[in-house]
Amino acid sequence: MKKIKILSLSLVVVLAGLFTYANLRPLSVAEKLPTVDLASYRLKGPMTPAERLALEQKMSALPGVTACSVNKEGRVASVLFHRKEIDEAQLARQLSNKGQWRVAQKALQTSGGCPMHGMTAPFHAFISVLDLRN
Amino acid sequence: MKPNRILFACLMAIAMAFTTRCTDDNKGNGEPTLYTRLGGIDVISKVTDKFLTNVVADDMINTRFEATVGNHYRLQVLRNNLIDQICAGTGGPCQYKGQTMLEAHTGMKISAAEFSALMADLAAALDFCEVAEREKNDLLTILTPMESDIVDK
Ligand code: HEM
Repeated sequence: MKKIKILSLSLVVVLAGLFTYANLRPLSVAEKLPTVDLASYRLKGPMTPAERLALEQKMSALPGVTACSVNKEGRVASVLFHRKEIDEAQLARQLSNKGQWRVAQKALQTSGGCPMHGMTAPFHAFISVLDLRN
Repeated sequence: MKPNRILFACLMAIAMAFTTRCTDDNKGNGEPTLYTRLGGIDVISKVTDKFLTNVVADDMINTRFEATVGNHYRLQVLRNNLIDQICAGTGGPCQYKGQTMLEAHTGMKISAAEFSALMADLAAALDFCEVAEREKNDLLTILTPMESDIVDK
């Protein structure tokens, strides 16, 4: 019984420490900016360079979109956006340009890459959940 | 008369000390910093976002970044580090909290061709955001020497 009490008390202390750290740590200028999400799409159908630029400009001007790029071949589009304002399905609809191009969202692999960053990501995720300033 | 002059000189010196300060807007020689000339944090974050979408659409290097951008939190860390790095490197009021370029890229075995592709994606982002030629070249000049810490490590 005593062991359980000590264990729960330690857990509360650790959580309180993490909560304090999450909310008091100084945020960098970039960390104060609203967070973004990224979606990537495959496009099918012929696309001229002018159409590519026009599509990028149209997408970038949408409310909630911070950037959009279509590769030179017109086969891949990637979009950075604020999820509160626009979602993946709406982005796909806008990319298809009323059916001019067939659009399919690319599933991005979520593991791999730099192992160090992969390991620290869950910690960052947890801290940002505790941060009430977000 | 003489003490009055000394008093006047002291008061002037104090007034100058209070009114003259090194802001982010100048390098001490009156010329605005590259950060200010670029347009501050708004333009830097726009350029960084466009740079990131360029990289993710770029078949030459996008597999390198897939796991990072596929994870919401890793994406924020990379984006925030890039914005803070450019902001701090151009004289802005930011603190870069990430790893050194050598630490961040060691073990990745990035080739010179991949480095050039990434720099071309950045140059294209600067063009898309209509950054003037001088500021574009100044920023690329700051970043290009990092190649020695990034390529073949
Ligand atoms: C001047 C050129 C470059 C700059 C300024 C730069 C900057 C950065 C920064 C700031 C980070 C984050 C460090 C951290 O989280 O502590 C990073 C990570 C990374 N960089 Fe670079 N980089 C450059 C070139 C490249 C190139 C050419 C590649 C590959 C083609 C590359 C691939 C990566 C990858 C895969 C990561 C790890 C991302 C993660 O897993 O979170 N970088 N880079």
